[in-house]
Parts: sequence; structure tokens; C-alpha cells
Amino acid sequence: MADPTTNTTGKVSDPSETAASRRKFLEVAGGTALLGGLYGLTWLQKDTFDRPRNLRAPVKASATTPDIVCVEGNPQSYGDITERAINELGGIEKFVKKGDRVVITPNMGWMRTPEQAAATHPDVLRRLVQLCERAGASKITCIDYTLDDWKMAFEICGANKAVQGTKAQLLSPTEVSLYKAVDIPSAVPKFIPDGTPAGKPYDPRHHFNQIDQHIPREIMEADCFIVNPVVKDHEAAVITIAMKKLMGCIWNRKDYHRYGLHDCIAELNCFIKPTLIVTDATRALQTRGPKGPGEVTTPHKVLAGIDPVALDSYCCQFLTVKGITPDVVNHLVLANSLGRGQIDISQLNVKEISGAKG
Amino acid sequence: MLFRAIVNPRSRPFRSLLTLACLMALAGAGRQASADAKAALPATSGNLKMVHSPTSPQLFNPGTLENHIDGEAQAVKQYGFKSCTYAEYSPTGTGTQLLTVDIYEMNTPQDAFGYYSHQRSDNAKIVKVGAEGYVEPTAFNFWKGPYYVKMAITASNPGPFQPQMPKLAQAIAAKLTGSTDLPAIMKLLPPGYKPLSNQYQRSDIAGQSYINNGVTGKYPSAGQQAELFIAIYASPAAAKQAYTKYHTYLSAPATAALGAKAADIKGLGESAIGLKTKFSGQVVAALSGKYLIGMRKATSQAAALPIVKAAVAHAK
Repeated sequence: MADPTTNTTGKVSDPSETAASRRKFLEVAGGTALLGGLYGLTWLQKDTFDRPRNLRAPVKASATTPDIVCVEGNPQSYGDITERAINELGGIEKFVKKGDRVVITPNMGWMRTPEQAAATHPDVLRRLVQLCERAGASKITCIDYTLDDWKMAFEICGANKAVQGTKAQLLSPTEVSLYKAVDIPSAVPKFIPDGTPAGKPYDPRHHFNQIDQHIPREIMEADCFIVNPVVKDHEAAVITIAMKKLMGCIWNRKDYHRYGLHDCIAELNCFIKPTLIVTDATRALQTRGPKGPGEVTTPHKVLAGIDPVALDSYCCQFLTVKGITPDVVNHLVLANSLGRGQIDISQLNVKEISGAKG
Repeated sequence: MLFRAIVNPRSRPFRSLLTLACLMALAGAGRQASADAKAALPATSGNLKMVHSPTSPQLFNPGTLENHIDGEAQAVKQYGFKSCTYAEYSPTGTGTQLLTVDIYEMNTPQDAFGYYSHQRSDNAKIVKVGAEGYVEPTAFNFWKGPYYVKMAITASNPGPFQPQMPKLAQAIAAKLTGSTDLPAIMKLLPPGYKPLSNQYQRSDIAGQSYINNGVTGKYPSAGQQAELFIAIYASPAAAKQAYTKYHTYLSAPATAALGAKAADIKGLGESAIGLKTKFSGQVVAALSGKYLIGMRKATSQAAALPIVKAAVAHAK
């Protein structure tokens, strides 16, 4: 048994108690250090943002290649006009190389039939997948974060049918583990042109409201990313076409709606630059978008290009019931100011083809 | 003494009790309102049965609406949204082939009409149900009082559901209480608008964040898509502030069509401006008292002016 000693307070203390206190101190200190280290790791983790490393940049085949191709067909030729639109841009091989991991993001998130026009037409999606296969894609993933039950949505909207017999897989990334953290503000210009040499300072909404964002690993690791939206009215965003479609590829949507939808869409499009955009205007959902059901018109058109601002601005003309013009779509206006694309179609080389077959 | 303190309108206990009573009344009204919507949903209608689950029918409030309709929730909330009661119907009372019903309750009939009219096409096939409704192949919508009711078919084969929609709509409309009159604010629009193009908008009129709380309508006499808006402000000073912003926007070089320049128009309201724009055709805007009046997408200034003048006169 250890001898009792007297400590400075005059109280008798047992050496075994002192040892216990030391042990306790070491435990507390060690625990604190461990917790501190873990906390530090969370910061480290937070700062470990990723970028799409392999993603092929959107590039026009040549200076004379149209900025926008718009091909008109009929319900029997939706696949053919999809191919024709891409061919007019130089062919799928300009965008997809042998061995590429390709990600396509069509609209397929709602339990709505093709006639209800809330999803990309199955014939358009199918041809796009087939073209990617033909170009030698090693992997094709079709991604959309579904809002309805994904099994039902994929079945009812025709996406299952569209990829049947192909190597493409459908994915609704509903787990955060399927995503990587990204730093959207890093890709957003710090100044907006305002006629002065320096321009007007721009503080990204993502930065101002501290919006964390994550993008699916499939996209971050892809070689080619193709946006394949359908033309729709949108109650909150005015329209949802190529630019808004990227919101089907992010984890945190709520903050966008809460803090500034248009700003966030424009900034997101500065971060992710699709290799190719194939817009489905075979049908257009005119009212009660994005889910509908609403009034549907049938322009019978498919468009292709690489500038989301230009394509979406051009497609406003298909939203005839509300008579939407690009100047009332604030994400188009802002993206144009941020240099992401051209809102003024009169400045572009547009090729319109009617009555086409593949 | 305590009694005196309680009955004294200036005392803290009196005010506390008053606040408590108000909160209880509001909570009671909320429960009553939700109960109204819930009670309006029949257990069966024709050959359809309500799909029952522990949470059916579901009730969503402004804090939870996003879980139900995602981003559209922000648009609904602009119109004084209070609650949404959601139910599903199917022939067997089970399954995934459904007719869905959403009963949105807004603050006022004007708000209910507002969101209803915003979602209505001017090509709509109108039916007499509630205050007004319309039918589409897979949808049936109507409004009545502070309620906006949306029905949709979620089925790969909508055929069997289509004849059931009007029956269910009529059953629901019969139980909902409220006015069936067009909101008084809609009378601000001068005659000549395309039928069913008249809307009440809470925000972002003409794509501008400062043009809110107004009525809009399409006037084909000024162009196929020509649209008039009349925004009402709390005071002439507030209207003037908004007009000044819009004037600045229209005067910016980026807004004008190639070779066009904004020009003031004399003799129209207190101040007016006209411009051929890059995207919205001919625009004419005028300030008149607490109103900001404008026409967009007109074919020419000459076509727009008679309608804007009529609106200025009408708004007085």
C-alpha cells in the first residue's frame, strides 16, 4: 500500500490517487487532442474539393460549325433528327472518344408518360446512347436525381425502354456517398462587365450564403458529359432546359431554392461545362412545369450545341403559351453577364433544318 | 388588483392574454382550414377509393411543402400559401396507378386565383366547377375561395381515370367553402384582353424583382404575345421608385434592339417611356399614381399606346 503524503492544500492524498489523476489528465488531454484532430480533419475534408479532372471541354469542330443546330422532324423520326443535329456539329466522334466514360443527364425524374413531356423522349435518349456506343464509349451512365420514386419514374417516363439492350445504366444518385464536394465559387468570374475597365465585382451566391455543393462521382470522373434536357416551363425558374437541368446532378438543391435559384444555376453552369448539349424540343411542357401535367405542344425538334445559354435562349421560342423571352429568365441574363454563353441569338450562327431524316 | 391589471388594456397581463388569444385563434383557424380541406376529400368517388396509409391524407405546411413538390414550393409560397392537403385515389385503394389530389389553401381568394391563373393556359378547356376550372387529358384544376385544387393522373394508362376526374372535382368543390367571384383587383385590366389570359401575379412581373403585386393580360390587338401589366404599390412614391428602376433598365444599351433608343412619351400618365427591345419587342411603360403600367411584346409603339392609355385611365 502506498504511503500517504501531504499536498500543498494540506489534504492527505494517496499516491495511487495521484497516479489516477495523472491517468485521468492524460486521458482527457489525449481525448481532447483526438477530438481536436478529428475536428481538424473535418476542415481538411471540407477544403478537399474536387474538380472534374478528365472532362472534355466543349469545343466547336471548326470556326464554321454552327453554334446551334435545330432539326425538325416528326414523331417517327425523333431518333434520326437527334443524330442529324449531332452530325451537323461534326458527329458524335468529335465529343466521344474510344474508351470514354460517358455520363448523360436526361430528364427522367418524374412519374410522367412521354406524352406528358416532363421527361426526355425515349427515342431521343436511345439514339444518343447508341451514338455514344458507336463512338466506342466504355461506360455510359444516365443520371438524374429523381424526385418521384426512381423505379416508377424510370419505367413510366420511358427511360428503361430507352436504354434496353444497350450498355447504358440508369442512376438516381440518392446517397451523398455517391457525390464529391466541389467549390463552385472557384469557377465563377469575380467581375461582371459593366462598361468600366475593371468591371463590377461579383460575389457568388454560393460564397455569400455559404452553400456547400456536391456533384456525383460519375460526372467528376467522366471523360464526356452530355446534357439531354427536354424544354419545359418551370414555376420557380421560369424555364428548365439545359442550364437548369444541371440541378438534377447536385446533392444540395434546397439551398438553391432558398437563397437565390437563378444565381445558383448560373454559377453551377460556370463550374460544370458539358461536352455536348442535345436538347429535346420534340414536345414542350408549356404550363405547370417541371412535373406537370400541363399543356403540351409538339415542336418536333431536336437541337444540339455546346453553349447552354444560347441553346436555352433559342428554346424560349418554343414556350409559346406563356410567351417566355430570354430577358425574363434571370439565370440566362446572369450567365450571359458572367461570360458563360450568349443570350443574344442574333449574334450566333444558327442552322435550322426542317423536314429532316437522319 | 389582479383583475384590474387584467382588464386594463395597457397592462402587460392584458396584452399577454390578448396575444395568447390571438395565437390560439390563429392556430384554431389553421386547424379549421386544414380540416376543411381534409373533410372535402371523399373516401370514395365513382369507382375510385382513397389510398389509405397511416399518413393519408398528407398535410404539408410552408416548412414541409418542399418535401412534396420540391422547387415549385417557392412559387406556391409567393401566393400566401398556408397548407396543402394531398391524397391519392385508385380503383382498388392501393397500387401505383393513381389519381392524385392537392388542395392548396392560400391566405385569400385573390392568392388562390393568382396561382390558379398563373398555371392556367389561355387555351384551357373551361368547366364549371368551384369558381372556375379546366380539364386536360391528365389534369383537372379549379379554384374556389382561398383554395386551389389540382388533380393529376399518374398512370401509364390514364383512360380509366379520365371520366372520374370531373366527378371527384365536383364532390370536392361542393364541400369547400369560399367566394366564387373574380377578385376585385382583376377589374384593373381594361377590356380587350384575350379570354383566360388575365392573371394576378405576386412577383417578378416582366422578369423584374421590383415589379410585384399586379395583374397581367394578353392583348392580341397589339401583337400575338403582347402583354399588359399593372402593378399596384403601397404609395405613389413607391410606384415612382419602381418606375425609375424600370426606366433605367429600359434605357440601358443592353436592353435596346439594334439601333433603337429609349424615348420619353409625353401625355401618358405622369411619366412614360417607349423602347424597341432586343428580346421583348416594343415596350411602353407609364407611371400613374400608385400604379406602374407597362406593355411588353407589342408589335409597335402605335399598337401598344391605346391599351396603355386605356389602362392609365382605367386604373384611376
